[in-house]
Amino acid sequence: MTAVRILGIGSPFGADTLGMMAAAKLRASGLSNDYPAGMVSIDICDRPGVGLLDELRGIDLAILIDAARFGAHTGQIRRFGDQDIEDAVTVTSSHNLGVAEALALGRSLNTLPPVILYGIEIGPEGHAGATAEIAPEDMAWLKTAIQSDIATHRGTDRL
Amino acid sequence: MSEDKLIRINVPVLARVEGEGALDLSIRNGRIENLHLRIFEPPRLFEKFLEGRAWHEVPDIVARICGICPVAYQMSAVHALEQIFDCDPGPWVRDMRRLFYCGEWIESHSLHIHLLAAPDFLGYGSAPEMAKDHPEAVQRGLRLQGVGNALIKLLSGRSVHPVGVRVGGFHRAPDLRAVEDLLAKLRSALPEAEAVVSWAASLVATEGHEMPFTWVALRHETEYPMNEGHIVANTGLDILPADFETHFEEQHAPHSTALHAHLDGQPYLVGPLARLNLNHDRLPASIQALISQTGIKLPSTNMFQSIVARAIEICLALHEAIRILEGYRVPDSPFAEVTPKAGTGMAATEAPRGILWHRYETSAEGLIEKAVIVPPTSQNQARIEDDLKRSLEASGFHRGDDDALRLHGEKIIRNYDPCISCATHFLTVRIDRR
Repeated sequence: MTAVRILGIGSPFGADTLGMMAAAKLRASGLSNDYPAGMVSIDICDRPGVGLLDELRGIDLAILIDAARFGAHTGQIRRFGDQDIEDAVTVTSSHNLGVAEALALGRSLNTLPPVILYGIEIGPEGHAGATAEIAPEDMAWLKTAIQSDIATHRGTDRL
Repeated sequence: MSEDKLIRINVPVLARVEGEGALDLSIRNGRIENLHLRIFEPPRLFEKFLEGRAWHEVPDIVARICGICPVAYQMSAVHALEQIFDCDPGPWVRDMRRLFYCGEWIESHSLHIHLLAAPDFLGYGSAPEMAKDHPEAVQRGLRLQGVGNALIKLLSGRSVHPVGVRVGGFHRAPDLRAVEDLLAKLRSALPEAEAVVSWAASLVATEGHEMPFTWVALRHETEYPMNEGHIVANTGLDILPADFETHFEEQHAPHSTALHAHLDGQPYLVGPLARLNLNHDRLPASIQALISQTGIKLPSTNMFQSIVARAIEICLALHEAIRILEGYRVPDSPFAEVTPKAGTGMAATEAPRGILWHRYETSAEGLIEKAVIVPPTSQNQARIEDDLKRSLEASGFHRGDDDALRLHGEKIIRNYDPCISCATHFLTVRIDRR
């Protein structure tokens, strides 16, 4: 059975919590229950740094959600495929690798499954003190998009 | 002909940073006119956050200062507070604190060697670039870092901002099965760590970057220092941590929010090379033999040999962790009871980047009335500036090649593993020619 891992990444502070908040909402919505038991896991991950590579080991499809800056209006969620992730500037810590850097390292080492990143725009002023909210319509869009990703992956998997 | 050249190097403001920095450099007629390294220093904000907080909140608050060395902040804090409260947690807690520190040294040094410093030495722009050509080395670094994280997690629930520490000891003791599992991982990691020593030594020229400077570290009667010891220097200084403020002077530098620290008016080095220079006789014979094989002569005045010092300290930390866990027993209680009282306590421990000194003043109820935290990066700041001045002048400023000059500056700064070091290419160059 294929294993899909949804990870909400960030920290408990300000706008940086958005990825973790989105994952918690997806879990509360019962998304995993739409699939065979054990197929789709949803977790939150507090600043994993290069530890992200371990989190994705043995997974067939990784779906990451993180606060990011990509020049859109604050709160917009955008889907980045494997090849587009470098375009998203995920919020980074100076003393650990950000998500984009950790994924670049994983690609160099050939240890990554297919990865989809959902970036939640925090805007140029987004910082630890910013208000962290995700609009209900944005959450609904995110859930539908992720269901579509999983369906596409399962279809590919069966070929 | 005189040529005025102003190079300004700055860092973009990032959210969630543990540090940020900029280097202002102006060169006139082939000489450095101004060189200012600016570092933002979060611990100074935490000094104020701590005021009015209860003694038992301190370990969890200071763990948030740094994402890469929370253990160090927790250890300096609990030692200082236990000094005020006349609390001796006993040998089990002492051993576990050393074990805890071993985890942080392994994790932090492995990250720095393999992902931050090695790309500089091997001529790559980033770790992902280097990983394409040196996947085994990078994988080894990640495995060792994982072992360090597992050690921290054993005692503290999680490796990032750990929560298991309390004044008096730990909230819980690891069970025997978890210890046995980890021992197996540590034993298998030891040969890999030994390989890192020779690999790191091969990256650094044995000669060519020597310069005179002062180095400062803790020194213990019998052990390689982590949690305890006098503060000593190659100048002959030998003082108790309580006397730190009478010998080390902190000053506001107008260009930086970090305080500049001096010993007798001079810059000084703290960190792995300083520790090794002052304490190599405290290493086990097997690790001293490893050092002999590298050909490195100690004490070393070649700052680039810091990467080798880190590799040696990974071996030492693994060696110590195995020793401690082989004698592990589950205690009756993982902590000693604490009764707060008014007083002042000071402690220094050896963070991965060097001496981390804390001082606390408490009320009779154990509320924090004043906190002073002196982190290693600010202590090294004046030393980094001194190194940059000497090294960049010696390089001839790369004959006007500003990219080469920036890369050289980055390499020198990153070699100190400051809290700004992970931001790859954190120095954005803007050149103004007058």
